[in-house]
Amino acid sequence: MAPPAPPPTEPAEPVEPVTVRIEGQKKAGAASETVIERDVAHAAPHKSGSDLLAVVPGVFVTQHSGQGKAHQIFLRGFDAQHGQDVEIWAGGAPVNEVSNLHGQGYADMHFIMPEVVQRVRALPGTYDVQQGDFAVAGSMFMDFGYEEPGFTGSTTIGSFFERRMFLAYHPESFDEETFAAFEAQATNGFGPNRAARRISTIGQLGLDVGQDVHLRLQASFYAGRFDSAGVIPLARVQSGAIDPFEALDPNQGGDSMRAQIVAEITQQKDDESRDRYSVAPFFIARDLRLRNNFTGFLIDPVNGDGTQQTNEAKTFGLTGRYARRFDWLSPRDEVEMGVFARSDWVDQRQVRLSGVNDRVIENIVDAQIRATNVAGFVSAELTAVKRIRMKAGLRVDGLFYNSLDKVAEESGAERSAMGFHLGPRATVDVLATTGLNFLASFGTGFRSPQARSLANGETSPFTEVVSFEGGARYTTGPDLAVNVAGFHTRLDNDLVFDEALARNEPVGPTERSGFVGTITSRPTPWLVSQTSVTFTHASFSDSDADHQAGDLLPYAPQIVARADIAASPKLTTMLSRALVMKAGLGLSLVALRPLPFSELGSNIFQADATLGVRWKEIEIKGDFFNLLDSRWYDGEFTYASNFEQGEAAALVPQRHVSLGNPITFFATATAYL
Amino acid sequence: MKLHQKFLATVGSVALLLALSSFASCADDSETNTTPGFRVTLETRAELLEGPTFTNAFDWEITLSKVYVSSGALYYFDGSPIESAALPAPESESKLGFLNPFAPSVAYAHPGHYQAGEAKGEMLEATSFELVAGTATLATGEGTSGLFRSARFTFNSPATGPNAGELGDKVLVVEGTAVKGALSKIFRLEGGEADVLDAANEPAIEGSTFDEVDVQSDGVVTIHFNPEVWFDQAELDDVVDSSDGEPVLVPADDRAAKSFVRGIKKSSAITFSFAAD
Amino acid sequence: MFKRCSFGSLVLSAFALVACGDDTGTPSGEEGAITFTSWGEEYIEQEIPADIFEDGYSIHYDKFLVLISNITVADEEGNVAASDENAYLINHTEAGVKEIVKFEGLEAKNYTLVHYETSPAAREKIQLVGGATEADADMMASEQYHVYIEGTLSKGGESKTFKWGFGIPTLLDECEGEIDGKLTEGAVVTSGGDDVIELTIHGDHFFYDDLQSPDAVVRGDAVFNADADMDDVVTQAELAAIPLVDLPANQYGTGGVEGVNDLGAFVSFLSRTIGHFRGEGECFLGSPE
Repeated sequence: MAPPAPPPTEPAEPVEPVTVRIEGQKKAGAASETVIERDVAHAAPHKSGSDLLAVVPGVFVTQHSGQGKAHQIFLRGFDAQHGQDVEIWAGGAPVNEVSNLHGQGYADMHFIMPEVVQRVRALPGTYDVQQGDFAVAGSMFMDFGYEEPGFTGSTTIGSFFERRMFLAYHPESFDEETFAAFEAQATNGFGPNRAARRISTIGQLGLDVGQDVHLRLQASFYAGRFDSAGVIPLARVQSGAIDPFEALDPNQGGDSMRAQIVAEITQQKDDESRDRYSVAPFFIARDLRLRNNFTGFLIDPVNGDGTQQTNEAKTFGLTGRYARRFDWLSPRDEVEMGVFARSDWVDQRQVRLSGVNDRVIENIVDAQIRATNVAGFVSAELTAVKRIRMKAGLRVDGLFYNSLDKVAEESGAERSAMGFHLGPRATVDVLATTGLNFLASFGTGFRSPQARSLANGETSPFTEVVSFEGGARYTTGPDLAVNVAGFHTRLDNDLVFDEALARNEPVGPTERSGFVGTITSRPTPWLVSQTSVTFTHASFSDSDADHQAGDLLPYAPQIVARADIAASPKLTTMLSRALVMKAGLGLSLVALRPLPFSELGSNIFQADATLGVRWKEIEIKGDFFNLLDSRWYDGEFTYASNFEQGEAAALVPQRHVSLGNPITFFATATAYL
Repeated sequence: MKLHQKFLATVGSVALLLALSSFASCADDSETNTTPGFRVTLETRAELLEGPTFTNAFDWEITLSKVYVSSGALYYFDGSPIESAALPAPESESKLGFLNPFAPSVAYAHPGHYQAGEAKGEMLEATSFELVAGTATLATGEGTSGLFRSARFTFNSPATGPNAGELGDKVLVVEGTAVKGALSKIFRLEGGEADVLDAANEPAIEGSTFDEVDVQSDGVVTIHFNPEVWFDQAELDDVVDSSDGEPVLVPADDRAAKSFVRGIKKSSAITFSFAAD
Repeated sequence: MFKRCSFGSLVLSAFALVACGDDTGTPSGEEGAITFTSWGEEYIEQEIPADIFEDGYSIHYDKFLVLISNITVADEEGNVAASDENAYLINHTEAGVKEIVKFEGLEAKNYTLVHYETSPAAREKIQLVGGATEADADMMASEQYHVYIEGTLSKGGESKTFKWGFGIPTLLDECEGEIDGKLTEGAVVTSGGDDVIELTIHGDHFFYDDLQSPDAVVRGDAVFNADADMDDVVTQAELAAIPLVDLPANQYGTGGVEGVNDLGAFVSFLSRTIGHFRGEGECFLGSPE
């Protein structure tokens, strides 16, 4: 019997072409380069976008002046202050502020909600031609995205009257790049003078325009106001003279505002495409006011040393890149060219205020800064015998600064400086066997100065940075990645916080050497971990009256280690809905923190944890910060102060600390619709 | 890699972190490389530079019987004091026209521009002491290693410490005898806080010489008081003779008292030195 | 094959070249100049008005001769880039800024160690600048003065004249002053530029009432009243006859300066402090070796 004839098929419906956008990760530019995906970034709980930086291998962040001031960042032996040595980009716009009065490269990341961070790409060193100003210790690029489809609404309450509302929307038919999010947060703080509030919103839209062009539009707005307890002399805490939670000057704190708009056009990449380009103009408006008193009554025994700094800045800029494939040694050979431009208009003022009646005692700074950084770069990547990938590039940065000092005796003292920096960069990547690569990298970068510190006509207004790195990367895919690297960085003229003058002072050449190891594993779909250890030896390179070659640089910790682990197993199914547990742990270790006068700062071991359950549309979780409730000091500084008005001032520099938070609990309820 | 190996990698890396934390909490890198400098403990003494007997510019042979000092905080700096070495031989009658043995080499030229520089040490506890009886021991201070070149001495009023009763609200009380030819005086001279106020209205002597030293260990700071400077220009002719052998308080408007007040404000009257343990 | 080898070797040699490079001390090839000038400001050219004096006097200078010598420019390592051993005699009562010397062909960089002297000099080393005459030079050399001033001190219709000379070798070291509002050590030479440094002479220093205090003020009473023989001329001998102890206790403090007990020695010390840098900038006071 013959088999039955197949049923007649209906004529096929014409199939609409589906555009598939493949985003592959770039090949690593250095052995220690890391891409931290969402699951690792959110394994442990984080209070802000700045906190999230702690997940980057080698990064240690502290907050010594209130929940609204930019964190102080340490990376690979660098005390990057508030961002002077770490280039940070968020959503396609630079975060570092040029010539910010409080600190060069000031990077306030409080406008970033942790939930909308899709990934963080960390490039330690200066090996990529796209790394520019502030990339001394390295660069970090944060991409925004939100993956939960539909509406999300969550409410958090917690210790110290913490309350937060988070709202987000992500249309299911769009990539996670398209979303809108809102946050309102307030806290009384864990001690006197630590209250803070912030509001923030980010909206991002990704649209395919035509067949192979993609448009991303992003806007974000943020404002925050915070009080600050400042720092306290450690000796007085240890003697019991003051409570460690005390705020010695209750007038400290500030406020911060930010608005940014980014528009990015990229040509979609597919396997057939020879060319790809992207252009991304951006605009940023920033406003910062900080009120600090780090020295009490040391300078002015009657009115106190409180100062107020205001910094207003408008930034326009753009990035542009063009890459073309060539078939020289391999079909994947590529030449890339690009430009970067940024202009900043900054008005800044610093006054000393009476602690009694807020009267202006002294005008310290009243300046207008105009700065422009224009860069061009080109790089070529060749792959030989399918195993040896060589990438070499050159970046040329031109920097122009103009400063008008309105406080100078002859008001109107204006000066300008301009210089160029040539930055060669190169990486060699050898594929030893499947999944195992050996890499060696080299690059030069620069650290730009505060515009007001430049003399008129200076032609080389920056510090030269030279970096080397060698290491290995091993991966079996998303489930396991291991990288280890040794690095060495040199600066021709570094700045170190001088304890006698209580400000950064030039100290001549310095160097940093060390190694870093990172293991990222996803043994099962519900378990992820990332552990990293970084050891750095940072020292003076030569001798002078104040130090010997080989003496340690103060402040940057020698050991920074971090582990982020998260488990999200499905427990059971109830009413056809999966019940999923979410548990996460973040462990941080900071040790061997050199301080001036051969002292060591206190080691820090912190554990943050989260535990919750999600029943499809509903999630309840609890976050613990400082789970072990350890007494710790996140900021440690050595300088002279006198907070006891009328008493004989101690002029020999002493240790001052800012207290870290005690055990803190947040409870969050979230609805996903 | 097999599943169990991946779990091992996960767990092992976390265990490594915890082990490292234990090691680091016990580790002390201070024996190898350190940051520049280190802290030192500085005991404090006070004494007369020379003995209690000397002859001043007006040929009075003065022998001090009591020198009470009410001291406040002491500070030591790396800035150089005002130079005096290049002055021409003065035509005045000062016996102190010799080169100051502690004369350093440089300081700011403009009046008022003694630059103290970086604070290297201090002793903050106020006290009082008497110097003719011998070396006085003050409280222990602290400092940091490095170059010490100048110092600030502060007086304290009202006085505290062992000789508070003798001083009261005075910062300096000196008694002694002065002999010139047939003339003999038994005097008491006092300096009050108002007499030693500086431009900042502090009872402080700025820019005293600290015998230049590179401090590299704990040790003893000694304050050398030189009453010769206090009395160098004192003409005691008009001081009333003592009728009962007790010191006669020299009135503030007396020329001797005025020159005494000028003298006690001179930073050359107080110098400092350091001796390592 | 050739292309692969050449590219690979290019990458490796780039490593080697830059890795072995030395960023410090490499000449940039750019050059500039430093010009030293001197000026006595209006206080010497015209007068020190009464509102400057704490006690209402005014000063008019008829002659203000200063010898400036041994101008030296060095970098922070102490490498001397330029120096001039000549002694330039300037009469600052002549109006205007006077050029002293220009150093050209200097590598464009910062020279943080600049010093000069106001010291007596031998006749053959003295160069005349501005209104100084041969007779002035002869006098300065024979008397071994570093500064010589003639002037009139006046108040309320009364006047006394003075003619004072001082001869104390004085080194003004590690000078710093403001350039466009920024405090700068020494000199800054830019490519094709000329850093004009004014060695400013402050004529009010002779009348300060303290050798160390930051609150020293300008006074005339003690000098005016030193005229013991009432001939309306105040001589240096008359100044030396005024013990400081006879002056008000809160005036004419000597700080740490040793051996100054009369007004003559006081004014002598002040004669060493008249030299400044870029207007109000300062130098360390010392003695030449």
